[in-house]
Amino acid sequence: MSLMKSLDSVSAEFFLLFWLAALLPVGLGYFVSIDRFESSIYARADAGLASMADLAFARIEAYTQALIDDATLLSRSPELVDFLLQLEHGKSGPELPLRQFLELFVAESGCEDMWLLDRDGRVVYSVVHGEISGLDETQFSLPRPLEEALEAANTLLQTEISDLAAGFASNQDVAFLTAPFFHEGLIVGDVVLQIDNQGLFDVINQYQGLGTTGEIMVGSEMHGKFRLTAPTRSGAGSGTDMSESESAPLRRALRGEMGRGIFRDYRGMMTLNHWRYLPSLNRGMVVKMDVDEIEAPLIHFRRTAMWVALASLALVALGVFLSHRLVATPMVNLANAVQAIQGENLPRKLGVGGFKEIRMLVAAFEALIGRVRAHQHDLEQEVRQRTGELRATNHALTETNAKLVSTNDQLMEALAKLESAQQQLVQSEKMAALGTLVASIAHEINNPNNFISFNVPILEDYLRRIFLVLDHHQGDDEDWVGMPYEEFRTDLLRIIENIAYGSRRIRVTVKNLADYARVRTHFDMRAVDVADIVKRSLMIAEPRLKQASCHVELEMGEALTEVVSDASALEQVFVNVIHNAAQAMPSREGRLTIRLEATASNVEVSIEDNGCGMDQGTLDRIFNPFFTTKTTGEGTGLGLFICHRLMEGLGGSIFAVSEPGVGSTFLIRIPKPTRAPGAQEWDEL
Amino acid sequence: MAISEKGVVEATLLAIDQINAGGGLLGHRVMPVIRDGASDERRFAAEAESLILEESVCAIFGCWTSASRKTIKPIIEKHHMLLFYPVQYEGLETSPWIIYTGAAPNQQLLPAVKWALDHLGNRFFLVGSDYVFPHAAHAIMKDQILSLRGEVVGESYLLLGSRDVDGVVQQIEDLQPDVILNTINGDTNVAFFQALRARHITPSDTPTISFSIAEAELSAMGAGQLQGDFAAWSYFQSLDTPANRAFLQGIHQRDEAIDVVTDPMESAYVAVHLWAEAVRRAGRSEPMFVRDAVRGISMEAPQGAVCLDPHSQHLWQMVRIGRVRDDGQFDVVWETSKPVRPIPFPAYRSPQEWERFLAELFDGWNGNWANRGFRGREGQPR
Repeated sequence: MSLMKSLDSVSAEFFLLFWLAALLPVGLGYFVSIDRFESSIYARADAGLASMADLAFARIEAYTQALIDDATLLSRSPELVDFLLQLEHGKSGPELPLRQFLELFVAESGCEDMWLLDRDGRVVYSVVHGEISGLDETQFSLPRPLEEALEAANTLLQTEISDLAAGFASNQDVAFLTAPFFHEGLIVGDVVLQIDNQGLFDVINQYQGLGTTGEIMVGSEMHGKFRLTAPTRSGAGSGTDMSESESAPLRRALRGEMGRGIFRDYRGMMTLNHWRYLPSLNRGMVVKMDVDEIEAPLIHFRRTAMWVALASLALVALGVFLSHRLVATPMVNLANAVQAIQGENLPRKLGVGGFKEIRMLVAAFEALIGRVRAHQHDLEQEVRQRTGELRATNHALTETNAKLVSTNDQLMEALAKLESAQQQLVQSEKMAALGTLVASIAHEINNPNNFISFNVPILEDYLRRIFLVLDHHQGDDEDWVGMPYEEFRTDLLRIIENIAYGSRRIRVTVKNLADYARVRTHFDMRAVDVADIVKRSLMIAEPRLKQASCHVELEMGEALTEVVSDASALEQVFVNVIHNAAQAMPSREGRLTIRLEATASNVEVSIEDNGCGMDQGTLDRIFNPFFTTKTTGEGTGLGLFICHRLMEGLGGSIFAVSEPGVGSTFLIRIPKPTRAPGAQEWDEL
Repeated sequence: MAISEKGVVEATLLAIDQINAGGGLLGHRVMPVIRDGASDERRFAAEAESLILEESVCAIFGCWTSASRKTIKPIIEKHHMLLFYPVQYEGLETSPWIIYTGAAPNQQLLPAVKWALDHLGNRFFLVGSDYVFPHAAHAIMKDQILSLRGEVVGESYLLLGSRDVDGVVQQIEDLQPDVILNTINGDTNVAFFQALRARHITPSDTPTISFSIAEAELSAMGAGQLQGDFAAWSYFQSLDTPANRAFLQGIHQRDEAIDVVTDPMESAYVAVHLWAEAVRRAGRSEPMFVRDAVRGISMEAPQGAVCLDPHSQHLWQMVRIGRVRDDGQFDVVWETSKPVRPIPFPAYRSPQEWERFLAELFDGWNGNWANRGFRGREGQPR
């Protein structure tokens, strides 16, 4: 687990990344440099071997060319031609100067021996091996390669070099040069030079620039086999036969090819070969060097390069390790430390060690945490403050709301008052109009009625006086106007009385109408005691109360019932209400209860009866003008209306509660003087 | 001679194609520029100058007759240009700026004469066209025949392109040589062989060894009349070697119409490859460097191993005698055991002597390398 965890880290990735990143150039560098180095050393070896091959080619060709030139020159020597001709004519040996020249020539030219052959191919003279001279074909036969060379030389009329001939006079293969002698345009014989093998070997085997394993092989094909012309540096002697695979470069050279290639040689070693064709010798030449020797510096280089590459990779690994130690581990620690911070508990120090940048990072984190902490503190403060403000705001809102509710109530109240005022206004207007009408009617009625009421008593008086007369003149049974006098007399008086009564009724009605119409325009506001007014009102109403045999109860506490008001108006109200109560209780044991109470602002008078009571529909209309429950002629329907108007005019109020069959209670509220009430002006009706 | 030369052009182009197919030289393609000398020496000279000065070529491959070669030789040498000459010739010439890939006299003439002496008889009749090659070739061969105790019974020259051969054939009929050595070049051969056969001179009794008749000429003339006669070349189309099979296949792929391949074609092909190898070795293509690098270069040619001799700038090559078959090909009846060293100046005269000989010819032809008919058609050069 921990391994997996440590692998799953930036360090591991860096390690892999850096390793891969380093592996690529290091590997590339390793292989490329080795490849370059290899190709460069091979190029150098190639160039070296090529120039060695060119040099060897030039050297061998020059050597053979020199021999050819020597042979050609010898063949053109008139003295030698003469000597040859003399030999043919039986002379046994050369003159001393010529012999000395020939022996010197053999010694100096790098030849083993020199023969002179007659035109039949017999050796007639040998500088070194005198014993073979003069021998016929049965005694001494020329080597086959020499015979072929002689044939070619005599065909082409030029100097020829033979292929290697198997051991003659030595174990080593030998080669010959031969050139024809001409005498007067005719071929008279040939000169043969036996090439000194050691000289040729020395020319071939020069190893300057061929290191320790480089060597030059010269070989030819003979009877299907490849033979080395010269011994090699590593010990293969001349005449060594080589297998087909060993001689591959030689074979290619012999075909005329010039080339290079790597082959396994006769020693079993891999060698770099350059091959050339040697036309003079008709041989193949191979200049070669062991691959091991060529690659020796490469092996050294490869080892060095490998160490460098490994060291590079190790350095990378070390670098990654250091970065892990110096960067990744502190970072992980930092991450863990930051991770470990829980809740609001911010530490002052993270306690993570590190160098340079890491230290800066930790410091930056700590600074950040410090700022967070400060910020947190500020936040708390602010939250606290905001919470308080919110609470206050909430409170204010609640208050405002309450105020609003109360304002609303007041508004509703004001609205109700307004509506009531509006109704009153309408009522007033109606009443004003009615008042005007009534006033004029009353005036028009009162004047004729006054004639009636003024004249009825006089009429009665006059009648009575008449009756005195008539009484005397008239018996009782005497008809009068269709009736007995007595009856007539009574009837007439009754009529008079009825007229008087009717006149009175008119007067009262008109008075009431006038009262109604002429509601008080002016109140005489004085300090009065309501209790006194009540008592006086009871006294006024006593006749009606007695008539209704009604029991009156007056309840008055110690309360001060003084008000500033119009005493007569209040009296009129009280009397009116008492009359109504008395009328409501005509037929049974009535009881009238009058209570006086004083509140802070009002004096309240309740007048309660146990009369017939009123239903709700009646109750709603009792303060309307001309509303009455009495039979026609008994009431004007203006009493309570006037009371209501009066109370309003006084700033008080009157209202009633009632229950049919139980009784009614009128409550009259008179305001206490909070300030001196100003007299209210009323328009005269 | 256009028939012969067309094949040389194709062989040259084949080698160039092979080099380009192998990636070119020093990172460049080899671009051939082909000019036609129209068998006219003056035209050859003008075209050579144009190739050098206007086309800035880096090597010239070509020339057929010795006359054309000798005409442009001063131009080549003056401009230090390299000429690769692909045709067998009379020798007697070296130039630091000419690479000779055809046979030198010792690679064609001398072996043929020796072989004829050994196998055909020792009485020779020499006939050739009247220009520098036959004259020089005859001089060389007469020396050799003499040295080998043979006998030259007669010698005659015909003007280039002449069909007037009756006199020569009459001579041959009269002299009855064992062998006719033929250095006639061009169309004259047709008339010559027709005349021979007309007089019943046949290969069975008097064989001819020709030095300028190869497969192409046989094909043009019809092989029938020459069947049984001989030719000496380094290369025959009928050689059965891997290198020759590849070469023939290449030629055939290039141009199916070419069904005969000749020694000069092979020489031209070899010349281009030698030049290319020299350019590779020198690392540059300027004639000066190529010439130094080409010396000593060898290759496995269709004819076998060849090597450019560093001294003479001629090619070490094989020498072969072929007998004409009825199908226009040759049976090789003799060949050297190994490549023969090129010797442009046969050794039994000194080079100075040979040069004096050529100078006399040149002067005798009024400053030409061929007899343009100023003298009798059988005029002797000396």
